[in-house]
This record gives sequence, C-alpha cells and structure tokens, in this order.
Amino acid sequence: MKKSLLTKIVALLLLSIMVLGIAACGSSKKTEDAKDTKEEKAEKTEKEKVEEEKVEEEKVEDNKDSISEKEDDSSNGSGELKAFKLGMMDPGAWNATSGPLYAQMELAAETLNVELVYAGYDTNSAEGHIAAVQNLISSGVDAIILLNGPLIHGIIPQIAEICDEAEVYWSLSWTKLIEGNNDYNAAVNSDYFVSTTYENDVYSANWCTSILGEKGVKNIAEIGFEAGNATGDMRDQGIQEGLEEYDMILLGEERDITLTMSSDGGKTIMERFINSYPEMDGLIIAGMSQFVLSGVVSAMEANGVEDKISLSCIDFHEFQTDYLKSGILDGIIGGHVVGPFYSLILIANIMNGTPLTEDKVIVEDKFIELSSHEDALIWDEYGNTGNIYSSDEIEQMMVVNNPDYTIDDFMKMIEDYSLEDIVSRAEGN
Amino acid sequence: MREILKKLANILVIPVLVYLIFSIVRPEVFLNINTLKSIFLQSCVTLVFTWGVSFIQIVGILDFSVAAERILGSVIGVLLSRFMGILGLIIGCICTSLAIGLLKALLNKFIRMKSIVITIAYTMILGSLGALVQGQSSMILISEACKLGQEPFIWIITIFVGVFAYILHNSYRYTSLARALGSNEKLTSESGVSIAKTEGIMISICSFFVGISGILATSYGAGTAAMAGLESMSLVFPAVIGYQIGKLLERRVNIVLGCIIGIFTMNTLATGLISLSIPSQLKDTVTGAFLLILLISSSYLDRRKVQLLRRQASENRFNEKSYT
Repeated sequence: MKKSLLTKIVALLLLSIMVLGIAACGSSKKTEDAKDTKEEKAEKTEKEKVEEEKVEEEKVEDNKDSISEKEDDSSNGSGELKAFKLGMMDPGAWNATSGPLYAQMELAAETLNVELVYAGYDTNSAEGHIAAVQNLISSGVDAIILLNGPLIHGIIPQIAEICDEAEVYWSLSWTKLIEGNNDYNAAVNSDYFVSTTYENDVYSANWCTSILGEKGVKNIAEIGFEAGNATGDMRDQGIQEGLEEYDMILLGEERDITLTMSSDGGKTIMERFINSYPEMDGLIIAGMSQFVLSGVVSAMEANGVEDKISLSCIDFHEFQTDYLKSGILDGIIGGHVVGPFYSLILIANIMNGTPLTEDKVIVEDKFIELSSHEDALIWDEYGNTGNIYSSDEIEQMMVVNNPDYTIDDFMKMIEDYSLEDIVSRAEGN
Repeated sequence: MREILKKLANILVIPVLVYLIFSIVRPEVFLNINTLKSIFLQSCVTLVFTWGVSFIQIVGILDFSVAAERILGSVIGVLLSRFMGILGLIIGCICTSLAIGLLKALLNKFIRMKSIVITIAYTMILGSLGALVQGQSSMILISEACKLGQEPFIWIITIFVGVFAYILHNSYRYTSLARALGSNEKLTSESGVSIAKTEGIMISICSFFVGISGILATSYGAGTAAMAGLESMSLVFPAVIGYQIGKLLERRVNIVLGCIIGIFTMNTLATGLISLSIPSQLKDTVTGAFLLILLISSSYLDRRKVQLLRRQASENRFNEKSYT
C-alpha cells in the first residue's frame, strides 16, 4: 500500500515538474496568438460577416473611384484591407532559418488583416503533404503557401488539381520550376496558381565552395541532403562546378537523415570524416546547418582541427556570429526566408481585388552571404529580428493603399534583397 | 576454456570481420587506435538509447515516439541548464522522459492496443510540445554543460548504464515477465501476469534510459533542436537496427552485449563506407545488403543448429533403443 502510494506521489511529482517546465520555458507568443484567434473566431457573429461584406463592397467601389481619392488613402495609409485566411505549411520548430521566416510572415499577416493557419505534416511523405493541403482547404483557407515539399515528392500536379477544384489560390516557396516539365506545366496551367519563389541553389553551393577554394583548400567533404532531393541535386551541381573551378577533390559525403538532423549526428559525421580523411582540409555543409553545425564545430574542437579544416555552410545557424568571430567558420549563406512573404504580398493583392499582375510569378529570391564577423553582426541587428520588411513597407506594397505600386516595384524589391538593402531600408525607415 | 573461446569467437565474429575487411582495404584509417576509439565514442549515445529501446522491444512494442521524447527532454534540459548548469540538463532530460514514460504507461493501461499509429500520435504531440517549449530560444548548450558528453564522462556513464541495463535484463523479475509476454502474450497473461503492469514498467524503464541518452546526445553534440511533426522518427531506426542485430545474437550472448555488437558493427560499417568514398546511394545499398546477409546467415545457422540438435537427439534415442 505504502509502496503504491509512493509510486503515485513520484509519478505526480514528475508530471508536475514536466508541466512546470513546459509552462515556464514555453514561448507564450504563439499560444497567445492561438488564443486570440480562437476568441476572435468565437466573436465573429453573422452580423460582423454582413458588415465585412459591406466593407468589401465599399472597397470595390473605392477601387472604381478616382485615382486621387486612392492617393489620399495611400498618403495616410488608411486603405481598407479585406480579411482572409491563409494556410501555410509549418516550417517546423524555431531555428535561425525558420525563425525570421515565421516572424516576417506573422508581421505581414497582422499588417494585412490575414488570419494565418499553419499545417503540421509529415515532411517525408507525399501523402502527408496532400493531406495537409486538404486539411487546410477543409478549414476554409482562401489561399495556401507551400514550401519545397511538393517539388521533392513530385506532387505539384496533384496540388494544382486539388487547389483548382477547391478554388483556393496557391503559391510555392523554395521551389524552382523548370520551363516545360510536368511540374511547370501543372503550375502555370492552374487557374489558382499565383507564384513560386526559388533560390539559386547552384549558386549558394558554389559560393560555399568558392569560399574554401579562395583559401586554398584542396580536399573537402560534404554534408548534404538525401539523394533525389531536388534542392540537394542543385547544390551538388554547384559544389561540382566549384570543385572543377578550384581544382579541389570531394573526398566523401554524408547524407544519412538519421545523422543530418541533429547536432550529435553532426558530431558523429565530423568524427568519421576526420578519422577517414586525414588529408581533409575543408568541409561544406550544403544545408541543414541549423541542426548539425554545433556538433561539427564540437568535433573540430575536440580533435584540434579548427585551424586545419575550413568550413562553409548553407542555412543560417544561431551561433554563426560567434563561429565567424572565432574563425572556425569561414562563410555561411542563408537568409532565404522572405519567399513565402513575397507570395503573401501577391496573394493579398489578389484577395483585395487589385492583383499586381495577371501572370504567374516565377521569381528568384536572393540569399544573404555572411563571410565575416561584421556581416553577421549586421544580419543580427537588421535581419534576424524578422523585421526585414517593416509594417509600413508592407502596407505600401498593397495597391489598395498605394495605387502607384506595380509589379515592377515588387520585382525590383526582390531583386534588391541583400545585406546592404536590408540596412539601407531599416535606416531609411 | 575452449568453450569460452568458442563462445567469444561466436560473439565477436561479426564486428571483427567487418573491422578486418576495412582494415585490409583502408589500413591507414582502420589500423589506428584513434579510429577504434572514435567508433566506440560515436556508439555511446546510440547504445544507451538502444538499451532503452530494448526494454520495450522485448515486450513487442515498437515505439517511434521515443526520439521525440528524448528531444523534448533535451529541450527542457537545455533551458534548465541556463539556470542550473549541468544539473539542469540532467533534471530536465531524466524527469521529462520519466514523466512521459509514466504517462505513456498509464495511457497504455487504458488503450490496451499495441498500435504503431498510437506511437505516431505520441510523436506528433511530443514533437509539437518540443517546438512549443523551445519557442525562440537557442538550443545550443554552453560548453561547461557539455562535459558529460566528453571523455572520460561519456565512457563512465555508458559503462554504468550498461551494467544497470545488464542487471535489469538478467535479474529483474519484470524483465523476465516482459520477455515471456513478448514471446507468448496469451499464455503468459493466463498464468496470472499483469500485461498492463509489466508493459508499463518496461515503458518507464525505457524512458529512463532515453532520458540518459538525451543527456549524452545533447552534451555530445553541444545542443539539440526541436523536431515538429514526424521528423524525429528517423532517429529511432539506428536503435531498432542495433537491437535487432543484438536479438540475432541473443542465443549466444546477452541482449545488452548484443546491442553493443550491433551498434559497433553498424558504426564501423558507416565509417568504413565513408572512408572508401562511396556515394551515399550505394552506401545505403551496401548497408541494406549487409543487414540482409546478416539476417539470412544468422537464421540459417540457427536452423542448422536446431537440425543438428534434433539429429543428435534422434540418434541418442535410436542408440538407447538398440541398447535396450
């Protein structure tokens, strides 16, 4: 009896420690947001809906009104924005790559009167993606922003069909569509496809290789995405081009997902590389640095090879500033966190009856390159905050607010994205 | 003495053979004490995790959520380490895992179903909790708190945990009952063994080991990262493979030692394939082929052993009859 009571007490104690841990350590922001959303939903009565419809009608009328009236609106930033619901594939837990993405999207959603719904899904399966899209549609979203999953799993045609049938606008991010192939055709022929943003992954990997090549590195190893991953293939191509350019040798690679998704896995990989290739003098982490970099650095320090092995990476990491300062990291390329935000701007303009263009937008968004401690400090100050585009700037990207805003302005904004651009806009604001 | 040597040879034949092959192909890498030490070092985290998984596997539970459980514990441990140093990491990892283990054991009592779907549901819940707890905090561990993942502490902890696992597997009543349940649940339960209680105890023990592996993994890799959704599931497979190799050797050696052989062999294979600069696709093929060969040869040898025993028994019987 006593033993059983003791067991129960221990169980309760442990449970309360865990609950306390969660309560004390958890981020309250998202929870509060979720709470607000629920409350807002509950408060949304039929009456409000009717009012919203009226506002919408008025807005359409406004659009038909004279340009001068609109200019007045834009000058005081009082343009009415239509509320709509946007579904988005959850980019996963917060890290140096997904964090600024979340923050920028949430700021934009708040500014543009958008209710943002994230869908959790099985990243490793096509079915998981399709189910997530269907779930978002069932929950009543007006538009969906997807990441690179549909490209990886080859399901862009299915997504196009599902969204067309449900009359839901959709956009892709981190996805390069190659003209003429099935994915491209499925997307551009979809009535509800809005845009895709993609990074030049050949370039990013080539930049990493060049950083090492310029330092005179000759024998490198690579940590990369699993075989068959479209992004990974492009990065491999970039590395290959760099190898040829700088006359370097790729000694070996590791793509095992059971290792490349954790810092202890990163350390294991690096230990193996150090043991297997005594001649290795460079390492490229061609993605997922946010997971493996600290483990890799730990292995380098443990084996005393910080000065012998040069290191460059793709995808930002929380400690990159420190690593660049200490010299263990030679360069890191990332900051490709604004693609979904660009899609949101296009979708929001469509939803407000003022599309920026009638064409499907296929646009490359740029990386941010950090090759020194100073660069990293700048990113920390202006980019990592998730306020890459401020609320005021976002408002001015809506034709409802700023009738002079055109697709050319939008494209120029994307083209200009760089560390200098972020600084100049932030200081200008 | 001859018997002991024969048994030892039986146990070590697989890892020694694999190591020998790579020593011939890449002597400069494998005939080096540092490589051997490094392979053992890499094995420590997975090994403690595998020993934990072995307690639920013997009862027939394949739980994909143990990795998410470990990550949640690590996330809480890293956050607590900011205030309490190493102690925070230990408390966070072990208490969280144990609490989750007890909860799972409790739920197991009511659900009464060994379904992979349930473990997937646990994975999703724990993954989301991990992401929620992590919030926008950095999950990199300060270097002072990384000590437990470095030498000599990692060796000491692994050895202690191994001895503890050995004792539990050999001398603990409930582990024997769990093994009996795993081989014939109906018969064992009819003999009065409580399935829920036995499974619950095994789940809790597994969680305790998972907590310790969380401490080692976080300290070894200098950090962790929450994995939302089902991302963490892939981390369970090396432990399952290690356990299955250990299981193949169970007739010859205790499962705890079997797991060491399994994990060491797989890590030797991985290091060897890297040292040969084999492309990753081919590496997976070779690893898969190795597991297949191991499985087939082991089951062939076991069957042959049974046949020999039968033949010997029938010969003995025949001799006895002839004699009478």
